[in-house]
This record gives sequence, C-alpha cells and structure tokens, in this order.
Amino acid sequence: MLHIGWSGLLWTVINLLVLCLLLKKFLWQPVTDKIESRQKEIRQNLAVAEEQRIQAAKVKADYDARLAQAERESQELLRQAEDRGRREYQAILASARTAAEALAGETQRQLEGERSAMLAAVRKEVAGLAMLAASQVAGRQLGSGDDRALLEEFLAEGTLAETGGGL
Amino acid sequence: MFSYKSLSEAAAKVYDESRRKGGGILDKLKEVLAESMAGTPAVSVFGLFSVPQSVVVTWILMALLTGASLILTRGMQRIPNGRQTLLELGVGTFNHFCEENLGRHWRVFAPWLFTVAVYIAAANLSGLIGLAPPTRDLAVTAALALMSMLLIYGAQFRFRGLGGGLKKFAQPMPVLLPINLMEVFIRPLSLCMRLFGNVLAAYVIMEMIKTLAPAVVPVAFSLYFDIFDGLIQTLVFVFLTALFLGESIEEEE
Repeated sequence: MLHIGWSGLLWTVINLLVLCLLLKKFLWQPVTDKIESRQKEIRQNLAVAEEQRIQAAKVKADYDARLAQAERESQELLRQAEDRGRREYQAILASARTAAEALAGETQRQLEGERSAMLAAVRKEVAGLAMLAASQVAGRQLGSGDDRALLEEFLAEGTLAETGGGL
Repeated sequence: MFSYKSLSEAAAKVYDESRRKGGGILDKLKEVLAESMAGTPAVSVFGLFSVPQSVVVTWILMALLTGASLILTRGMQRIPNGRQTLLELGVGTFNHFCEENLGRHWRVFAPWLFTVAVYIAAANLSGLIGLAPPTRDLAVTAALALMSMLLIYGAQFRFRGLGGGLKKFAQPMPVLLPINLMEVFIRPLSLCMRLFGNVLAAYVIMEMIKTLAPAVVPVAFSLYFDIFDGLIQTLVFVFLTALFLGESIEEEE
C-alpha cells in the first residue's frame, strides 16, 4: 500500500543539494558572516575601549603625580622665600639696631665732649670772674700766674661741686 | 480550546452519518486515504518527461525560498534594522543550536541542517498557500532521511577515520554492537516515517473535518494540524539529525 517513487526520491536528493547550495550562498552565509563580523567588531571595540581606559587611568595617575609634585615644589619655594625674607628682615633689623646703637654712642660721646669742653670754658670764665671780683675786693691786680693757678685749683676742687649739678 | 469531548462528539457524528447514509462518508474517507498513500500523481514537464507532483512543488518552494533569501538579505547594514534583526535572530539561534550539539565542527554541517529545517518547514506549511505538501510524499521524506543517514555515518568515518568510525559502533560497550548496527537503518526509517506519518495524518484528519464541517471549524483545526504540527515535525527532524550527528562526531574525552 505504501509506495516510494524512486524517481521522486532521486529528484528530491538533487533538489535538496541544489537548495542547500542556494540557501547557503544567499541566506545562511551572508547572515552568518554579518553576525560574526559584528561580533568580531564588538570584541575589537571592547578591547580598544579597555586599552584606552587603562591608558586614560595611566595618564590621570601621571597627571596627579605631577600635580602633587608641583604643589610640593611650590610649597618648598614659598617656604624658602619666607625663610629668606625672615632672615633678611632679621639682618636688616640687626644692622639697623647696630647703626642706631653706634649713632647713640657717637652722640653720647659728642655730648660728653661738648659738655666737658663747656665745663672747661665755664670754669675758665668763672675763674676769670672770680679773679676779677677778688681783685676788685682786694683792690689790686691779681696778675701773677700763681694766683690764677691757685684759683683754678680751688674752683675745680670745691666750689664747682654744687655749680656742676646745675650745669 | 478543542476538548477531547468535542473530538469524540465529532467521531460519533461520523459514525452516525456513515450509518445513516449507508457508508457514504466512510467510502469517501477511504478514497482520500488510498489516494494520499499511493504517492503523488505524476506531472509532465513541458511534455518532455514526467516527475512526481511533490518534485514540482519542491521546485516552486525552491524558487520561493531563494527569492525570499535574496529579498531578505538585500541591503544588510552594519547596524541591523527590524527585518535584519529578525533574520539574524533566526540564523543566530540556529547556529548556536548547531554549535551546542555539534561542537567544534558545527560550521561544516550548519548549512545542510539549515536547508533541511527551512525546506521541511516550508513544505509542511505549503498547504496554506494551496500547494500539496511535498512531505506528504514518502519519496521526499525518504530522501531527507537517507541524506541525514549518509551525513551522520559519513561524518563518523570522516572525523574518526576508518578504524575510529568502525570502533564507534562498539561504543559505549561491545554488547551494543548489534543495536548500533541496526540503528543505521532504524534511525533514517523512523525519521522518514515520523515526518511522513505526521503530515499524512494531519492531511487525513483535516479532510475528515472538512467533510464533516466545511466552514469555519477547519480553520481552527488547521492552526494545529497544518501550522503547529508542521513546525514541530521540522524541529523534531532537525533536532534528531543534529543529535545523532553530534553523537557520531563527538570528541573522545
């Protein structure tokens, strides 16, 4: 009852082989190629992206390190400048102080000198005046050198002790 | 949707009608059955030679499939649009299936299995566009099964060598040698008969339903018998072929 047509079988084998070639060439191969080329492309892109990410991380680390280095250097420079400024300030201050002290000493010395000179002049004047007064009182001229020396000695020793404070 | 009850009611109706009409419908069904099992009628090609109808339908399907392939794959982009996405989903899923079942050498067999899948699906569904399904012809399913058998055992010897191919028949243990040898014929026979039987049965049942209820009802049954069963049989044929093929070429551990 079941019947196999041998010509049909043979024809079907041929048909299937031809159809296989046709479908492979026009459907399976193009679509498979497309899928695989895209997979390959995606894989490549991912690899490139990963590489770029690593590169970027490296660049960033480098940049950070450099930034930190620059910051350190600027801090160092600032500190050095501060130091130098402080040192210069101290030096200037010290030299100013020395100069001021020197000036004060000089002034002091000058004043001393002037004072002693003035004292000597005053003493001389007072001696003259005293002599004049004494000669007026004595009615005679105290002209000898002995008298004058005596008077000056006297003035230097005693009388001037009270007038010295007043000068 | 179609309960056992409605089917048994239909069967009862057939029985009743045949009794009432004195076997009129039964005679018709017998006629349909005999006609469908006698092979498909021959068709003359340009008056030069005659070929079975199933071969002519196959030629039509081949032309349609090739045309559809050309249209579908036209202007494929790097970034797929809707049509291309579906196409790639289909072929990609199929390739993945082949890769899982066949392993390293899947690329060699994928085009053939793909062709078988597309052809059986198209043949089983060809009834929808008014053609006589070629898979209803035993010659066609026999050819499909024969090619599968040649592929399976050809691959076994091609990838294992003559000695390895012969040794495969005594695996996993020598006791199974007779069974493995019988399988060489049983496998293609079952592949061939399963496909033929399913398509024939679907056709016969549909003829019965059309005889009983010519309008509306056949549409619902057609969804199952013509579309669902057709696709399931495609899957079964391709899946079994891939399974046997994967088994025959699987690598030694």
